[in-house]
Amino acid sequence: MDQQLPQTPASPAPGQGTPSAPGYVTSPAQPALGQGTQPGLPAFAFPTGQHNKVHHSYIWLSPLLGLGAALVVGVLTSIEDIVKGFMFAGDAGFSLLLILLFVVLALAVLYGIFVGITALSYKHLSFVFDETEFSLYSGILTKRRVHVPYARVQSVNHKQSPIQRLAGVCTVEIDTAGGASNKAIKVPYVKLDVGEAIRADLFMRKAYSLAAEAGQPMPQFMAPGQAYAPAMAGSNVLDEAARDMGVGDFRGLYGGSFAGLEPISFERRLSNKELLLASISHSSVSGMLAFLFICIAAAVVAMIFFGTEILIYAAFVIPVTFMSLLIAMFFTMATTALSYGSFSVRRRGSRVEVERGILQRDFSGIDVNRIQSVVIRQSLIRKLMGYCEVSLGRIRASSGEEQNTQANLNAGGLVIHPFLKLDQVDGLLNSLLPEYIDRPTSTQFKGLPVVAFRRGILRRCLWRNGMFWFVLLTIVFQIGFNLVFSSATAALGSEGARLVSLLNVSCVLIYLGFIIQVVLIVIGTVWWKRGSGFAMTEKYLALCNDGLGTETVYLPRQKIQDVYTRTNPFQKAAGVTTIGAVTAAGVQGTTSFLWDVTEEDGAAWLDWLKPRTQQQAQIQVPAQP
Amino acid sequence: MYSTIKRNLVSERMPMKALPANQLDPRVKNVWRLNDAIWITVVMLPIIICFFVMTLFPETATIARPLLIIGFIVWVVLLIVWLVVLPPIRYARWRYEITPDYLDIAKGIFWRKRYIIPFIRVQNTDTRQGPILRAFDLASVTVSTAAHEHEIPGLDASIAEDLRDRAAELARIAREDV
Repeated sequence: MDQQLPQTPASPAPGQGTPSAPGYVTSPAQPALGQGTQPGLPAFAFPTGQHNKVHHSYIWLSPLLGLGAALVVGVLTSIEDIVKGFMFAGDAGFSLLLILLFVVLALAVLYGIFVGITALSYKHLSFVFDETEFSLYSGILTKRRVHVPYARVQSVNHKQSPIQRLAGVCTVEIDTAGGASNKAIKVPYVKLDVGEAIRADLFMRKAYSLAAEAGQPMPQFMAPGQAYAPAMAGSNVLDEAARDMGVGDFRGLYGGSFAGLEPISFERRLSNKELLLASISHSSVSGMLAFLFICIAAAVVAMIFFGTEILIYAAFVIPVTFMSLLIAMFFTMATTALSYGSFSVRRRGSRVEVERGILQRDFSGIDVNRIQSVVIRQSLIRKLMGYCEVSLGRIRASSGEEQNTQANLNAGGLVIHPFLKLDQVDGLLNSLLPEYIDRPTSTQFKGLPVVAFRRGILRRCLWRNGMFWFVLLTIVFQIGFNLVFSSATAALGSEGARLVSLLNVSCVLIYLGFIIQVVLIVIGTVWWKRGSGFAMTEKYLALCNDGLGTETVYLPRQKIQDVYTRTNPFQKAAGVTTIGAVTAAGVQGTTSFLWDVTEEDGAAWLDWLKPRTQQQAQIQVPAQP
Repeated sequence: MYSTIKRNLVSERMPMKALPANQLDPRVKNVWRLNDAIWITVVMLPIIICFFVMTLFPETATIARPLLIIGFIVWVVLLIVWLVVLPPIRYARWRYEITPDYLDIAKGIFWRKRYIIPFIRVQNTDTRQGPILRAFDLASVTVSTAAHEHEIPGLDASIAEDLRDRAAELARIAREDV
């Protein structure tokens, strides 16, 4: 509370559309940037060149995380001593008190040390708005200065962990043009309104620096708070709960002093139904089924090995298994509901903004020109319900600490709706991204040739199925084992016979699993053959991979880095090829591909990307099926 | 088998699309040979030496002698495949073409790949020259987009520089075309 903005502009009540605060509208006569006093520029929240500190909660709050970790490690490593202390102490109450006292003391000392370190680093941590770039200074021994020119700022995102919520602070992440070599800049622990101010300042300064570079007149900005009255249509229970809890305090959602530079032209939220169904469908059904199958298999094996007496234990095991399954499902549902609670996606000027989360709060924005792809994804359960998830592909900067960004590249996309009815997708995209209005329609997709089905079955069931090769190995192993033991059984007696039967039953279970998997694959392949296809229009490529899950990708022509075809000898014999397109989405780029289109389609696919500067007249749009 | 051959004949007559016009510099075959010979030797030699040392001791000699012979045979076979069989095929399949607008690459012996890379997407173009390439007065050109990197190995050094400069020029003047 005691951290004040250098210049706090008048903050009108949310949604009332009060007239502009004086400092924010610029006079028409504009000098170029970098002329000392800059009379024509608006009053930025942060004066140029001033070192700004982050919030003091950085000192006392951020060590709590380390303290928690230390506590867990400490308890785990000394658990034996603790137990011993309880067991052998003559006076149990006294020793318990001693232990508690010791723990509290140790924690206090540790906390003190941590606070000392963060206080040192706080002293050297500051951010500066210079004439042409934003800099973050940090480091106790090794001094670091990370700077980003305003023109290269692409998005400014906010994150708020539950612990940061205690102090009402958030972490600001500044994304630059991206690519694996660019790291995101993080300004930790600033008050929410300061975070807003950083964002507003960065975008205003970016606009000015771009205008100055191009020699254009300086842009005019809207005053804060003028932006819009939030339309609460389609909001859900969690939204209201969030508002009551004072959660939604990032820009403009429930009002706020820094409403942004441009008005919101479109906003969409989750309805109660969408939030609930999204949470339910998010729990991984296939994982649960696999778990159940393993449980049953284990039970059968145990029955063979120990005889039917084991069934007595089923009375305990079955309820426990189902309980744990239920708990796991409930847990994933709850986390999904919390992470999509008070979800909102909006269009502000040329940017798409997404804000979500009850406990951990996330705000992400992306300029429409920076969108690499539009992805519409259906898992099996969503497909059966007729719903899908819509996300935008974006370039991610690798952030040093998070090594797992590679693992969940799909999660790198910006989800603009977690659970949307399929027939509403066009409506959402057309309002949110009018630029994509002439993307291919479903009638423009071209399907796969007949031969693709046979090849698909063989490829998915056999050649590219790890389970198939495992089953082959199992068969060889089983035959060998039986041959060896048929001669040795007499010597081993009943023990040996039981061992052999156990092995054979396990093998049969593996074959059963394989058969179930093959059935699923065949169903998926039938759907794949029916629904998959690609489309090429003047400005877009589209690829649809159907199956048990469906993924449709729309790629704008400007964002396609290269296209390729790959043909293996079997494909060559069948006259088909794999087509693919590469965009820069994700950290290392993303490849979208489709197996087994005809060679002619492959050639057209390659031709499509060739620049049309000279041959504008000869664009070939594929024949509609 | 029959259908494979027939299909190949058909596609000989009606090619899917004319292959890119340019081939690599023929000297690149020698670069590949030298490079692969070094790698194969680096991998195989320690194994062979190990077996050879084992033959010197009477306890292990009986096991090591056949192993030594097998090691030698494997080494020779690898050398024949990578030095005699593969380079001409790889060379014949590796083609590229630089039009004013895009780079066209076709390569691959079993998995035949074809790439189209518009120059307006090219972020930077570098030439590289390792010690082996330098010995043959060749250079390789790498063309990077925002997502991937494509390498054309073994061009004549002057051609490589010409390509690099042209790509840089095109990337500078290119405007969005749609």
